Amino acid sequence: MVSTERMLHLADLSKLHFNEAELERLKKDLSDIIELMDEVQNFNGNPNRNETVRSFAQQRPDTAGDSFPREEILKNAKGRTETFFSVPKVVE
Amino acid sequence: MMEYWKRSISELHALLAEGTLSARALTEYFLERIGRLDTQYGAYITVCTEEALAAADRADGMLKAGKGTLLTGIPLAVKDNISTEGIRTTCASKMLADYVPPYDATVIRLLKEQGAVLLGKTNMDEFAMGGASQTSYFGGVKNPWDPTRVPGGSSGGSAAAVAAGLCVAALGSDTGGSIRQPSAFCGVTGIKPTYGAVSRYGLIAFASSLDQIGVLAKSAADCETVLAAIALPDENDGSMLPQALQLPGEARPLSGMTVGVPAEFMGEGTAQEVKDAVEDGLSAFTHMGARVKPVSLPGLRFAVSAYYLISSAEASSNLARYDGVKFGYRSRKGDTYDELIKNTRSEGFGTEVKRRILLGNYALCSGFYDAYYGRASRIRDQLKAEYAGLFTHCDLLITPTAPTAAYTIGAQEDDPVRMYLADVCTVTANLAGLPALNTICGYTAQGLPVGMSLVGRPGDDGLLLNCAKAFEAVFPRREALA
Repeated sequence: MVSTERMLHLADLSKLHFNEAELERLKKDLSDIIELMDEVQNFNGNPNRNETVRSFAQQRPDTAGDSFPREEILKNAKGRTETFFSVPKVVE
Repeated sequence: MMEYWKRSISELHALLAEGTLSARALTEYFLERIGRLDTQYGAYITVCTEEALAAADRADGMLKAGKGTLLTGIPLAVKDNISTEGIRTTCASKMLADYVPPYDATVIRLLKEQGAVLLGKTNMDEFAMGGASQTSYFGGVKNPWDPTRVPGGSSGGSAAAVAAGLCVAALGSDTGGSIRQPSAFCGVTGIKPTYGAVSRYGLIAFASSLDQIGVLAKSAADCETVLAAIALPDENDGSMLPQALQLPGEARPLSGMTVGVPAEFMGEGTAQEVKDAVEDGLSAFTHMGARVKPVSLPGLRFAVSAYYLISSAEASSNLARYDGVKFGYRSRKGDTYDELIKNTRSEGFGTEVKRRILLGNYALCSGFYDAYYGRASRIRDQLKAEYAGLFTHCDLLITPTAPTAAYTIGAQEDDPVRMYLADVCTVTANLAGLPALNTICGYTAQGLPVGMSLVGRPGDDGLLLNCAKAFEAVFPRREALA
């Protein structure tokens, strides 16, 4: 079973928080899921990793192009001040 | 009135080209069907009535000017994780419920250039994470064959829309089976192309080393027509193959081809009526002259675990962008930046998405990385090697697409482990980057469709489509609706 301490650490890494009932439910779910994932511990194949991420097949010249109009981009923001995205105060 | 929804793209194209049918009339026909029937299925999240009619008028102009192509004026649906300029693209999530992309995905741009008509955006599992299309913020999708059953997922809205005749064909995305399994459950054809064959610019990312955009349609021939329009080079996607797919593929007779059947897919976990239908499908291949032989893919036993570790790890990174600042849902609570982000994500994501993010961070955590993500990556290498070995003596492989036919809504969606295990037939094609196509090979005693998957070498999408076309020419396909 995944410990409460580990769950809280994972929640923090995931930028999520849960109430007590949610935490208990997810603890059980995640424990069951990890039990399934533990099948990989039985794998005794090649211990050396090959390159699984294919190298980029095509690259384009790194040239500056047109960007999107500022107003278009800001339309999707829930918080804006003048021409900026606004967030709660970060620095005291 | 003619039943246009039962017609193929080439039949509709002939009517449009000769002028006996206008794109506007055809679009109005499908919009009327959606308005009348989709309350039963929930296949669409957004129907684009005005935009569709405007696109139809443009298509009629192209046709009159003699500039029409096979897709000009053909009404299509698009999964709601593919960006459409000016039309909300939600990923079926509260997080993006009112997000309106400022640009078109490359596949949308290519379809528009062909004069295709976008009817609307289809329902799905939230962020494409699921196999039943029941985790959508906008409500679950129902299977047109039996509305008490799931349509499969995550492209369940696209599959249901094709099956119910609410579009001619649809785009979906497939990270671990999300095109093929709903195609099987809804009795239609669906292809996940070779990794890198179709641009993903504008596809909202789930697991970038696995995601592919593909096509769901009534037949392999229709899938081929749409795929040929979207499988083109795009400098905005650096993961694309250096060469475009050859479509249609080389015309090769089935006689003389070798079809491998990996025994591991036909074991205890697969329902007997699924095995029986796949055996019938294999008999048809034998009758057409193919040599069918048993083969083995021993790495399959590790595939589900490796898939969920890799895809969740990638998802935990890809979904880190949802912080409520630049776009998407934003919580009203939170006095600090950190609290704002946590509240936004906790309120904006559904339970399954949270499970995957937690699992992904678990797999990547210091102290666990080698034991989980590292091992999963080595299993992926092993599966690729095993497939490469099989393709030295097989032209294609055939497996069931799912262990069962469509099940009853509510039967297993609350049990994540059971849901994950049900993906065993489809995830290896994504892990190995192979093209895979679902076609229907039989029906259960209850009359539900059963799918089989054709899996090929990278780039052999055209070969799979040709084999499926040959099979579909002799297989008596049924319709979901009368």
